[in-house]
Amino acid sequence: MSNIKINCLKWGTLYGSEYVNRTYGGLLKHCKEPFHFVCYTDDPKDISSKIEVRDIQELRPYDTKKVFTYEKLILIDKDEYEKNLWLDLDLLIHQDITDIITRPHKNITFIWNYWNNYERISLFNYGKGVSCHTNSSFVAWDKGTASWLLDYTHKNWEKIEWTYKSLDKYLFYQHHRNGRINLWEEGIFSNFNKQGYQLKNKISLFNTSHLYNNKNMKDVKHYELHESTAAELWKSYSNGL
Amino acid sequence: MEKLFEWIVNHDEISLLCCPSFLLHKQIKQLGIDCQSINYDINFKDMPSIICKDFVFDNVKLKSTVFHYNCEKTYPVGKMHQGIFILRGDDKYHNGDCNPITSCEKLIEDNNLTEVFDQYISKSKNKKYNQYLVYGTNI
Repeated sequence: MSNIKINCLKWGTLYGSEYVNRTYGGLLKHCKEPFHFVCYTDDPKDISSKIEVRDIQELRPYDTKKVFTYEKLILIDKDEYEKNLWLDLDLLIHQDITDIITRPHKNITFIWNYWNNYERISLFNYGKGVSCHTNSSFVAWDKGTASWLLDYTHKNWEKIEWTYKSLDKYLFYQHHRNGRINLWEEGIFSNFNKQGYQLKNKISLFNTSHLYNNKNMKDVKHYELHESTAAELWKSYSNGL
Repeated sequence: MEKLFEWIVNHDEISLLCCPSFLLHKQIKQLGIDCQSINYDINFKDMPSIICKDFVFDNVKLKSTVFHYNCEKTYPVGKMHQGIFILRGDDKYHNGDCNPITSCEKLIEDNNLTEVFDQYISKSKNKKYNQYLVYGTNI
């Protein structure tokens, strides 16, 4: 039996089942250790039978439209394996990531947006409440090491729901500010749409979901995975599934 | 601002929340009022005159009178603290505002005020949004 569990979430119609299957395929290709893959969804149609499918309502103890993607936090302490991850569907793994999955994660580890200018964008605007330099698209933790975050979230839920539009903002303003979360080192992730529309490092984020309502970003072309120049590689990950 | 100072001078000690203006903090202190400025903005973390904490989530002891300068940006202070409040908020609907203030009544309700001493509405300098000011208590 594997000691690695990798979770993803899919709801609504923004991404189809191919996003789930190809994420799994990308992991099969670039992770040399066996793992168990679980998708929490509201629509299991056409998801590969090799993937465990669960009802996303399991991750929704709170009926809210705020704190976008807070559901990810509810994966903590939920049937954990020795090593646990969640990842978003709008990312492409294109180099071996066995090491970053199997290395010790003594605290929950998030992405830092190295591709954005921290001083000019996030620090400068911090007091206005608009900053966010952390990203929860690819997150890892060892069994039991993230319980503190789930406990804190439940205990402070009313204030969190009132204050934050998204999970990433909550993480940035509360847990990064207080030095509670770990961050992946530079050189693992890149942002396809902000770094020359190229695949760099080991994993590329496409990361477009926060842009739809941002009037300042309307003129910047952002490609989804399926419409990008990396689409062929991405499609190849569903071979054999 | 005049209206705010009419209210402020009634108090010996004040916690000033989410106020980026050093000038206002200084003006209050110059009145002989013991004023602590508490701001979650980490740009203020090395400034000795500012307590760089998030009063909503961090452990912060507030003074008996609280002046919240940007109520639209935080969870209502009156839900977590009992005292006298000077509350200012606006309906600018800035992207970073989690709780746009659309009336004095909203400030009163959000903060569980049981008695209102005074209230006031003013237009911003550019006339594009309203600022709502309430002076009251939830004791």
